[in-house]
Amino acid sequence: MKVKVDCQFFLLHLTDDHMEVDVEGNTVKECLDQLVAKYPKVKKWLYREDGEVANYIDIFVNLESTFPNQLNDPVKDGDVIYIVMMHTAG
Amino acid sequence: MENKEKTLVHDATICTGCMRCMTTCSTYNFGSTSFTKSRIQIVRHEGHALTRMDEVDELIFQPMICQQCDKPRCQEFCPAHAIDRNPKTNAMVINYDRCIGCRMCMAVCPFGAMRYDTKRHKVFKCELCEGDPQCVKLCPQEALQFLSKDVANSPKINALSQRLIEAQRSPEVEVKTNVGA
Amino acid sequence: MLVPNGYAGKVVYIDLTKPEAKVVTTDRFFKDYNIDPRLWLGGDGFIAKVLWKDITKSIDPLSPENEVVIATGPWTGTAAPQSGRAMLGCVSPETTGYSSGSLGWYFPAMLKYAGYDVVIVRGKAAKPTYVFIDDDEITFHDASKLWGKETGETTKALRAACGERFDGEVRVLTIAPAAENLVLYSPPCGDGTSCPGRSGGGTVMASKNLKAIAVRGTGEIPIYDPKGLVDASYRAVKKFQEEEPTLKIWKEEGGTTDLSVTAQWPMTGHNLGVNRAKADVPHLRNAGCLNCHAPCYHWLQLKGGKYNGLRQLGGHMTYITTSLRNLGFEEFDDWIYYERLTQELGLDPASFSMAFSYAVDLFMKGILTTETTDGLVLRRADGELVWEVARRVAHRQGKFGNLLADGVAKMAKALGPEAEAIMPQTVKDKPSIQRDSKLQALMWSFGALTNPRGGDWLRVHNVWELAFLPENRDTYPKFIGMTNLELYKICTERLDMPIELKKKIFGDPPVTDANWVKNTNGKALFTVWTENFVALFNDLVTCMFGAATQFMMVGFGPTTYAENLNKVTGWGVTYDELMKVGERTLTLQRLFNYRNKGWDIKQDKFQDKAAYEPGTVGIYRNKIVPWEQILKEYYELRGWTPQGIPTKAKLHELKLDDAADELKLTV
Repeated sequence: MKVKVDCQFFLLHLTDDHMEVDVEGNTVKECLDQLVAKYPKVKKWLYREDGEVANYIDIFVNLESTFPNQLNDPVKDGDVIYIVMMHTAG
Repeated sequence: MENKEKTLVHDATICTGCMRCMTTCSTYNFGSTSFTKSRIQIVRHEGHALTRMDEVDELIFQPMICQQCDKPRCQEFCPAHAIDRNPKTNAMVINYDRCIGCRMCMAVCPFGAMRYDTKRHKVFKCELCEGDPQCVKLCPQEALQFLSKDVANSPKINALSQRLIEAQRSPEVEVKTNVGA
Repeated sequence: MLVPNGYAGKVVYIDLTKPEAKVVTTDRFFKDYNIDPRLWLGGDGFIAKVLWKDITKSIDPLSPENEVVIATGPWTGTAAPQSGRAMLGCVSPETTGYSSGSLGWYFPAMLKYAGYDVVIVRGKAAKPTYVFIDDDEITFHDASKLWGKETGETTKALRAACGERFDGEVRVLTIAPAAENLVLYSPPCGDGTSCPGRSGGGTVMASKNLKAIAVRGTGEIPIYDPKGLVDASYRAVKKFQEEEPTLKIWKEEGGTTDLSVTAQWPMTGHNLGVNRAKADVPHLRNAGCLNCHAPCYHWLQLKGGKYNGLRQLGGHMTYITTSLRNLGFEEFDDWIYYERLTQELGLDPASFSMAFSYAVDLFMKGILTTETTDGLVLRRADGELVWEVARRVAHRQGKFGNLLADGVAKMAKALGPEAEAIMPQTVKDKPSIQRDSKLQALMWSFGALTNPRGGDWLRVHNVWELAFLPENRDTYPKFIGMTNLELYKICTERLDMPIELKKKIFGDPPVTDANWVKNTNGKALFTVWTENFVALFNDLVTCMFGAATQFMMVGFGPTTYAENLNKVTGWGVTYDELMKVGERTLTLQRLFNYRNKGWDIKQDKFQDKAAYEPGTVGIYRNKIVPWEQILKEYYELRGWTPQGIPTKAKLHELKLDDAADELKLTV
């Protein structure tokens, strides 16, 4: 499946400034692993060391949250995966 | 145990400089909130620089307070015999019926602990709140404690000792002592 | 008595044009501005009343017609918990509408000890000036030698010039080069460390040639029930310390600031705790504002590294958020330096980093080129570049410095439709604090729409939806040894809110869980409640770090505020009365923007053209809800028209009939 990953929220400094990255895969995980393969520095912001999604990250597919399945969610052609970081301020 | 002589002990690494001791003291003892009407004074060395990297400065909050001296000069020099020891708290307290407002006590106190209120025309000092110092009670960090003079330095000794232990735990030292291991 | 307990007793009207400092009694001020103190308290309430009367139409924010209003409240400077704050308000240079911000540290308390509840600055001085409020004596001084100095140097020089007799005796509110050069988003700085960050107040001060206000106060604030206040204050903090689940984070890490600890952000370098412990004289529990039990100022000393020797009092979260998201900084030291630099130069870290981040977007798209960037090659995650740009912006150097100095909204307009199409999140011409927050918690992103000062969510700032993450996430519920459900069970039970309202927001029985986060039920209502609550504590004035629904989950609520306030004033205010105070303040701010600017529902929208429909609920959501739907519900709950204007009936309820009459409202 041809999918785009939207990295604009906080990852641009690690994706050579590509807001959208083209990847292929059948699940969210496969797509994100491709992203990491292209831009290895993204890995530590995306995944914890135990392989789970990082602590402050939410993954959306087409503007719908992937919780609870997250990485195992299937994707189809034309889907957009958004990587969003939770709010913080004060 | 009631009659133990206690004193205020302050830990500068825990104190956040919030001045709650001062707002509490003035409110409780004077009925209004003020810095100048507080018997405990926190000196705020805030490092006016806080700017260039080459400037040396620090952030230090240091309390200055009546030491309730064993041989109080305020009492010694008071011409009206208006300063006496409270036997219950060991604090030196002012008898306002006798005080003539000469402020000799202010002049001779080595710690600047005697203060003067221009509105009410009275000297005032810490009298330990009848033995239950409110500054200690209200300190949100427990940076200010009220301890027996016998053990007043123990927290400090303990803290220093902890740091020494930490220093001895450094890997470099261990390698040297485990020769051949 | 004419002036209630808790108030210092005087107000000063400063006319810089003459120059003249006219001191009146606070009850005279109440008469001048038609203020019943029990209806407005202080802070933002007083600012709203002053601006409502004094500025009755749209003005150029940089003209002498603008005002800077510094308002404390009956809480400020007393023995009540967290009593160090005041509000600073003006017409915003960025939005041209209502603006205000909160400042702390010790300037506010000192102003009250000097005897003043409010300072109103009008007009324009002929040359750079600073005002010294020395108890009863108020004098004007030539600030020509100070003009051009950065924050730290100004702070130091001013204290010396005022003849400070002992450390900390004189407190100062200063402006820095960015304000002097009329960068549209420059805040003033209190004591070199505490700024009303998003107020734009520094720029307005600069437009008046006012370099600083210094204050020394030796007086006292009368309290109605002094021993009662000490007792109430004591119990409030004790209860907080016993019951607030997140207190561990505040004690050990100085708040939720250090996300490397509470959320394991993979920052590099020494974290806040390490830099704090390394200080020559460490403050292991931080330093804080007056009477604060949850101090959030980290005393940091960077040892080693590229900023070796830098000492910084701060480590505040806005800087880590904007640093990472908008600037691509992953190193602690860069974040700390960013904080220091923006404070020294006088730049709002949010508006500046958004402008910078936007500029990089534009450069990548070719809308900006090295011609228009004065030769700079823009890229992300480059600290040296950011420092250089920050200095150019603060000094309005070159085409590029000037472009960013006007802020995101004007940048977009100046560069045309292509640029407008990729604007980052902006409301009422004020950017948010991060590139986009619409795909996040509903109440936070929604709060940006309805905030009278535009842009950000800081007038709602309700964390209820935010920390709700899957159980396998190591964020702060886990950090404090709880599951999300456990934490939220406690929080929902202890939240200071009547049970009937809780049921409307959280269901019957009230429950906060992943399902609650997923739907829109009660969210508009919770937003309304929280906005009123925030307006209340900005009227008292007290701090958000300690208030319920902010970062402290079960912090102080209206009940605690009422109890302590009643000991200060002797009034006998109730929970409901206080919530109405908040609602009243917020409503008048809304009316101000409507009367002066014609703002209504049309301005309650995101100006950025993100492709997706915002309006999702919480971090986990399964359905997208259009903003219009939530806004409609919000307006109905507030008793506003479908156009977003408070109705006559609502204004009558809030005792704002005079405002309704003035506006000739028919509905």
